[in-house]
Amino acid sequence: MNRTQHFETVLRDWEAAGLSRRTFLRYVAMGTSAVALNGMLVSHISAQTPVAEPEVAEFPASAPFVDKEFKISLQTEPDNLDVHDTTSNASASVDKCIYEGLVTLNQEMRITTLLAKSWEVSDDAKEFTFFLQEGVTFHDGEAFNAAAVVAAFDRVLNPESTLRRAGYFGAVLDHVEEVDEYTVKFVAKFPFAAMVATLAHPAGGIPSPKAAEAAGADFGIQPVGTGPFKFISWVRGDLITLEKNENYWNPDLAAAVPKLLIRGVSEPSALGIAVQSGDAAFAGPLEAASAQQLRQVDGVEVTSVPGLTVYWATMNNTKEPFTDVRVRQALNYAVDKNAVLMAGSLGEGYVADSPIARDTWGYTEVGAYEPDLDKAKSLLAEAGLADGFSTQIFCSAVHRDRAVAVQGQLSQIGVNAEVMQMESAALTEETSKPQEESNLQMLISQWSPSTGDADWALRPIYTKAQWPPAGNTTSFFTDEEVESAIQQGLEISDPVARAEAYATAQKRIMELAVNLFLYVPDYLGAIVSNAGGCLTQADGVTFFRTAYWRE
Amino acid sequence: MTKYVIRRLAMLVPILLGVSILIFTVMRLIPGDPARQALGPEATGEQVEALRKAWRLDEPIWVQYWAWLQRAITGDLGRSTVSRVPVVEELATRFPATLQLTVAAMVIAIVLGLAFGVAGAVWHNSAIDRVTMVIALLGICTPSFWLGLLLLLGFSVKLHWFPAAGAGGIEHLVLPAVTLGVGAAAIVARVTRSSMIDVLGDDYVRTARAKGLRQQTVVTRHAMRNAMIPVLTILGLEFGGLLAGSVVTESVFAYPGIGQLLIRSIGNRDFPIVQGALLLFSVQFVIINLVVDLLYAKADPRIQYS
Repeated sequence: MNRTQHFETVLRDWEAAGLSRRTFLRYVAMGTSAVALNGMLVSHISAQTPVAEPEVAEFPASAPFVDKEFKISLQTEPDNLDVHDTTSNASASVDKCIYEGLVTLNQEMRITTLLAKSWEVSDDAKEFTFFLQEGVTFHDGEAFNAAAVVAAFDRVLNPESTLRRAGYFGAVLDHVEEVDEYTVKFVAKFPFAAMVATLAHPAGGIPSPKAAEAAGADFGIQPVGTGPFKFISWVRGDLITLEKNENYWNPDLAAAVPKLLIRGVSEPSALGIAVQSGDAAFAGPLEAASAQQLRQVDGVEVTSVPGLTVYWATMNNTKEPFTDVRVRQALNYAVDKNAVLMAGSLGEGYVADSPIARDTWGYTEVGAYEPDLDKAKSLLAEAGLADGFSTQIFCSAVHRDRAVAVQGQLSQIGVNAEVMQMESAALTEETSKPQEESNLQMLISQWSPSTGDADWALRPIYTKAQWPPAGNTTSFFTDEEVESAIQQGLEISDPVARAEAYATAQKRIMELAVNLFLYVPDYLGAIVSNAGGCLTQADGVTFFRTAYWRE
Repeated sequence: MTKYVIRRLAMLVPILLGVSILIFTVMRLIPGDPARQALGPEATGEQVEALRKAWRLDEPIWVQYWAWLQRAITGDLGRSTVSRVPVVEELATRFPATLQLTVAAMVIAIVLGLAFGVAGAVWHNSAIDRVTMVIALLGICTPSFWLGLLLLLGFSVKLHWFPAAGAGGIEHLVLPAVTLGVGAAAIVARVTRSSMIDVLGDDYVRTARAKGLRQQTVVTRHAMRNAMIPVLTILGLEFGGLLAGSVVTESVFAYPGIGQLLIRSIGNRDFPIVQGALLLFSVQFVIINLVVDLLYAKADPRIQYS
């Protein structure tokens, strides 16, 4: 079978599985191989029929090397490049070129091995043993082995550590131990089935322990990892330069360009213009308006990926009248989510049909509340609020359009909502108050599970242990059935049973209308037609270690 | 004169102390927590508390201020809570870029502003006056993000004359300097015009003309110098303002100036950077005001400092 026939066969299966031809062609245009496409198809099918041992997906292979530097514009400048000391998507995007994890997420957010060849999970989901690649060295020449992995995690787990990822790992990871030179064991504090997904997060990159110790607080501006690109310089506020790592351990995944030049362009329109003017070969993530304008431009392709981020309006379940499930359901019926999607993201996304996004592992389609004003009004009347009521919707500047759209929709059933826009840090302070002090009634919120796993999509938002100030359950919701399903998902390692537990939780959350669910936005980027291998992924991190030029 | 300069510079000490106390207090009174901002939305309450302790944010404000002041006197302004880079280094890398952009914009403002303003005054109430003042009005009214984007579309996307982003050579300076300079030029033009109109009506100008001096000499030698006092004041203010960074222009052109750094640091509640940047601005303003005052004496010999 020749190459074209091979692609055609995959496309047939692809369409049969209900995936769009357009998506397929976009991946082909990006240079994705037929084998990789087949892998995506398999992971799609497994995500649909909830059987998904996070099976090892394929990592995108390198394109032929072309000796011409590659410029990338991101929405913001990274804050720092210490992989364990940042929560910024821009930093994670650059970190993915410099550092590598034992496992990682590929462009399609599926787990794949990188510095580990394989792993084993103990039956109680507490011990995770990884078998490491041999012959890998850090950019500073130090050997990558089990001792380096242990040292890297000791650094972030150290109780004195103020690294920003200390809590991310410290909450679940007890310690890491060396089994032999190329085998390490991660021991969880409690049964934690999502451990592999946690390590696949960009924060799971392994820094050179020796370089990190030598640089101290300056490691964020002198990063050293094992990745296909090594750090050269950072003109603060302007430009980060990375260079091809000539000693990269895996020729199949090596850099296809000699240099990456990365800058942050914070003005949304100017970010789009960067691709048109030739100041960047790729720019992202873009705002919907820029992306729609760039679709009309010759020589520029727009990349679009359904996100993992869900937008919703939180309702404080402990404040009248939101204590009544009928009121919460009424509000869900009252809002035309498609209209909010148009107002907030010009239609670039889809209406949320579950509390979590479709591409999150463990997702189940529950179905959205279809707009129905009569039903909404009668539910309000049943709750004794036939004349409606007044409330407040808190939001930050980025969510203003969504807040105003929801406000307009709610007025149709007599709910008079006042939009309270606050500066972002001040709003965070407000949303971090404990239940008895909280002034929140409604709040436009968003969440993206950066591990790509249902646990991190549900636990921080729907459990009592995560009520502020401990976490992000700003609805102050709790429900026995949901709590126990989420706990089960953590404790069992069998993927089928895990997925079932999460399906139960999603259905129950939707049924109780905990929040007013809105939509899932697409992540958009723009690339010049003679380049490929760059994409703003579903978690908002831009993937460009595979950047290449078409000859 | 030297004594005067030294006295004015000595004033910097109480000014900086006052400013630092004010910033310290205000930053800690506004809602928003640096530890929470640094850790991001995924952090738990416990992690935030631990970081607050590590950064000594749980101590009384005067204890924090005293600790900061002791280090600040030795030139150590701390490290950014976000990038972990020393504050002095963050400011030092951006200051030259901001200074270059400010000087370039001021050159445009002075050349265009004086030319338009003088032309408007000399040909008062003529067509030239009306045209130049309409242009100046447009210059004041044009939002800089809009002008910046238009320049980008025209000169970067269509003509490919100038790069769209970054700093470096003079080619990177042109578009942002024009964007900033046009607004300042418009203000300078209007002030110059009204000041010149006043002066041109004065008796000594009539005397100069009566002596048979050429129009050019009357305007440049006699009238301009006297009309300069309000113009110098405006130039000083504009210069100081631009040196404090221009967030909009910097973000449109991805220019590595101080404005973007400051705005981002305020959003992140990155106290050390905000304090450092505002102290720098205070020093700049004190120096610029001093220079303007000295220039007054140059323009008008009746003004003397002792």
